[in-house]
Amino acid sequence: MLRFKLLCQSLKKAHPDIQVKFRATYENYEDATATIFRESTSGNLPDVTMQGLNRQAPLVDKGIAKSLEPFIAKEAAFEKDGYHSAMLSLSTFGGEVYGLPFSVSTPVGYYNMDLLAEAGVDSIPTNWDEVIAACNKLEAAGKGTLYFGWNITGNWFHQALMHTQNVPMVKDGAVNMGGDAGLATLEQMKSIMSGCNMPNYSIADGQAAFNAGTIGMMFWSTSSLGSVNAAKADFVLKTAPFPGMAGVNNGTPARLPAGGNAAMLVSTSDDPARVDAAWTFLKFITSGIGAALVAETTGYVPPNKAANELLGDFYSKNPNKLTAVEQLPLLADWFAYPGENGLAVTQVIYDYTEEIATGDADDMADLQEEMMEEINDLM
Amino acid sequence: MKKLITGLAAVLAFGFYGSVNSAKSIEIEVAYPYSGLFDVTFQAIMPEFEKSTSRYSS
Repeated sequence: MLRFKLLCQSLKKAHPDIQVKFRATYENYEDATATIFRESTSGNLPDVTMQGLNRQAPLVDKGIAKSLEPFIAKEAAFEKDGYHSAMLSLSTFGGEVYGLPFSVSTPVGYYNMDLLAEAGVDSIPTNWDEVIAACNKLEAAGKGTLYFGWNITGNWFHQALMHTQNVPMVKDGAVNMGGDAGLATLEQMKSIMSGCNMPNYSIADGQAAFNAGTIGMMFWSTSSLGSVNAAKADFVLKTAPFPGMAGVNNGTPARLPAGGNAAMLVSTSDDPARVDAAWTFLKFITSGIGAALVAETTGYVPPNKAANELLGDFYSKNPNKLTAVEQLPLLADWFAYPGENGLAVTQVIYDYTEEIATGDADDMADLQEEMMEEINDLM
Repeated sequence: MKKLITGLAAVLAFGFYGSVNSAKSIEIEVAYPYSGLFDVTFQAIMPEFEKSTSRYSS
């Protein structure tokens, strides 16, 4: 942190004072999008909004988000400031940049090494069959098994299992879960949840169980590493790459969806000074300094290259945060579902998957057929 | 209710973040998700932002 403060001294610039008023936080990315849509209708948009990487496109399509190209064009050293093409591509639509990524995440495994050792699990699982085998050992030792975060925002884990098989969740403008990869995704989820006798945890309850040290494993976004570190009981925590599917791509994920969010300019102000102030804030929080502070305070990966210089030996001192960085070469799209009913499609997939989590669904082919029928009706 | 509480928490934590200089100040409104993840991040960012924007203002 001292390193930041010293570097920040040299980065001070002349700007008018900007007072930042924070609105009520969005509960999740679906709520973020729905809130912005409502505020757009009522003429009450904020100046800057943070939206899930998979939820930017609808704001662009509806003309709510402003192109950042005119602002970027005025920046003398935008690339030097660490904004690189791979980062900007996450928020580029129709050849124009509409957002600046604030945080990037990948799904990872969290492991309570003490509990695993007590159960006789001597190595971290690399694929889901090994995860289930570890669950069996934990149960035999009278321990809790896992929380598999199927209920995370934006069907992110469904997309992770599809990408694991190198198959995109959306293809030719349609949800692509109707084929073999979709069925394998549902079958894999069922084998994990039933094979590990996982309770139908809410997100809060699943994380609380892991933090309390009552279950041995948690599969979730790397984003929560900061909060897990702050809340966990006294046990040795390790993170490791997201497991692969046995027999697919040598048992390792072919690709993984990029999670996280981007800052977008949605100001409707006709005061150029206010719009410029919003751009100043947006640029600062996605700068090297902002991105480095994101990495320090959460488990997210900093999208801005300039953060790496500021972070110094941060990752060698925080190896659990390195897992997500090492998965960056696998990054792939986190898809939004096209059309007006994109959010409703997300909910349909959630609802059908909950039947797996509760044990109400047994035949995954039947579930797949019903789910796809409902999805196709919405698209 | 939860949104109201988290919103209040954000206001209490950050308020109208920026130095008091009404003659030159510009107010902007910002919204972000996941207070459990990002409150601590913005608590770290805002002092740095304030320094970067008020350095030469009187």
